[in-house]
Amino acid sequence: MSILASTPLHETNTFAESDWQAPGFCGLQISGVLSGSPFSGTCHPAELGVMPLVRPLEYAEVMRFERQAPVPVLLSPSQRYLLLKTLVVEMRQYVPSISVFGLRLFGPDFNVQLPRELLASDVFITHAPQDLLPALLDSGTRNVVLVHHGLRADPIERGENELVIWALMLSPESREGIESFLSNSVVLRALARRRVRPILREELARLSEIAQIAIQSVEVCGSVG
Amino acid sequence: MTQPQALPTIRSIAHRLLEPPFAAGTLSIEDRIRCLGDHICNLLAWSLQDSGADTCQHLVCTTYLSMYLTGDVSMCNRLFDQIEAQQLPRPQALIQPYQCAGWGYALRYVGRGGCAQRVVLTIADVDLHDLQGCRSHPLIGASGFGVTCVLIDLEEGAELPSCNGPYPNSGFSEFLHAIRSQRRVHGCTPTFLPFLVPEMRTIAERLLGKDDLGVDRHAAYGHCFGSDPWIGLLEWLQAGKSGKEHVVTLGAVAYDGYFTLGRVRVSAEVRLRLEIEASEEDVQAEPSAWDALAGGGRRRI
Repeated sequence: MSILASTPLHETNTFAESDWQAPGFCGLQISGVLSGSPFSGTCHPAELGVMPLVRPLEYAEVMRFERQAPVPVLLSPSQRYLLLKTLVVEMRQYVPSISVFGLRLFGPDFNVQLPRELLASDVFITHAPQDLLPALLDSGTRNVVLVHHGLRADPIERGENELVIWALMLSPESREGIESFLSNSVVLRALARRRVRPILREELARLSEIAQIAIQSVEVCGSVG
Repeated sequence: MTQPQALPTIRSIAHRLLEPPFAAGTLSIEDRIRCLGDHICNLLAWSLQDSGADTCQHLVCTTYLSMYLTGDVSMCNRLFDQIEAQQLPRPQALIQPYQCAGWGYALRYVGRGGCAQRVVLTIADVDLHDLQGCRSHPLIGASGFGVTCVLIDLEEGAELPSCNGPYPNSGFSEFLHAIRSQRRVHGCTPTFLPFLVPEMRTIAERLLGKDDLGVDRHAAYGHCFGSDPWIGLLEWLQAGKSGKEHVVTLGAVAYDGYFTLGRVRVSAEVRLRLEIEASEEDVQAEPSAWDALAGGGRRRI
């Protein structure tokens, strides 16, 4: 199973010199959405199941999870793991100075194992990785990557199939690697509506809000491929 | 001669059994989450009395809770806000994908920099939706629900739990062999395992011997997810072992094939609290809908 590119990456995916030199610059946000399956052309088990329900009140309880979804389910749980694993592997390859990955996963997909790469000691999986940031800043941790996503693998899941990567507290030597990642990443190539945006230190407290604006903006602008 | 590596020091362990149905008669999910928050706040406040709560890192681990909390950040923030409003440390994470081994992964993460710090881990597994399907599992047996809070001091450079996986067949045999390897290096210490069904406990006893294994309390509590080894340690200390420092080993296995294993030092002044008013009798492993669908689907609500 391999990830297919849906859109080409262009040289314009790289940051301008002025972005890196901006006062208060401390990292960047890369965002995009899946507009189709990055694994199209192959059949794959949905790997879905439900808790067996036996009483009427249990059906009523589970119906609470139902909601109108704005976007389709495009991935199975293991395809979602594969996409995230590939992202972590790519970032480690291009930016070896990354010290820690905070990665969003909001529940175990029972009977679907996490890959070894996501169980590694430099990866920490939590429901909202941006919440890790205050403690990371307090400890002076540099070269932090936080990955939020709303990649739906089950109809009851929320999300808009968005993927947001924050590379923060970047040291100067990481610049070349980040630019290589932006130019070569297979995962980024699978995303539509890609946007790259600098993050200033004073913006660190409102990362989620900034990401939401980027995801909801249909029009592509800025230094984007 | 090199100095032996510092171990995480256990300052307090508190567990409250919360048998289903949880918050019976409370209809809204918001009210049930608030009720869960009350239990967490209560145990947390007890755990942190006389401790500097403002400098304490707090992480919440779970295997079985609700997608309203794990899948909806705004709902989870309500729980975290409730905790913070009580002047208790706001959790920096809700961790579910590591399942029962989550507390080991949490400790590995917060301790990775090697700095001295105080950590409180909350392990919360509660049946917020009153679903009978979660009451037992063909391989794991009856489930037990509740909240555990563990207060831990990490000295500078403290040894952290190992976290391993993924392995086939839940990694159970690899887990037992890792304990044997640890014993060869560090010697035998009292070892607290997950509460196991008799068939699996027999395998553990054959491989590890019975002498240094904590009592298996599956018949009393069922499998209490990540809390099992902490309840086992808590009861062992309450049975006349407290008042003296101990080095013990705790381990947990995730159903999907990961495990955590670590040595800790129990302070001679460790504070203990076990609330089991809901069930002093044996838990009967009533057949659940899972038994008819062995291995079918995934549990994630």
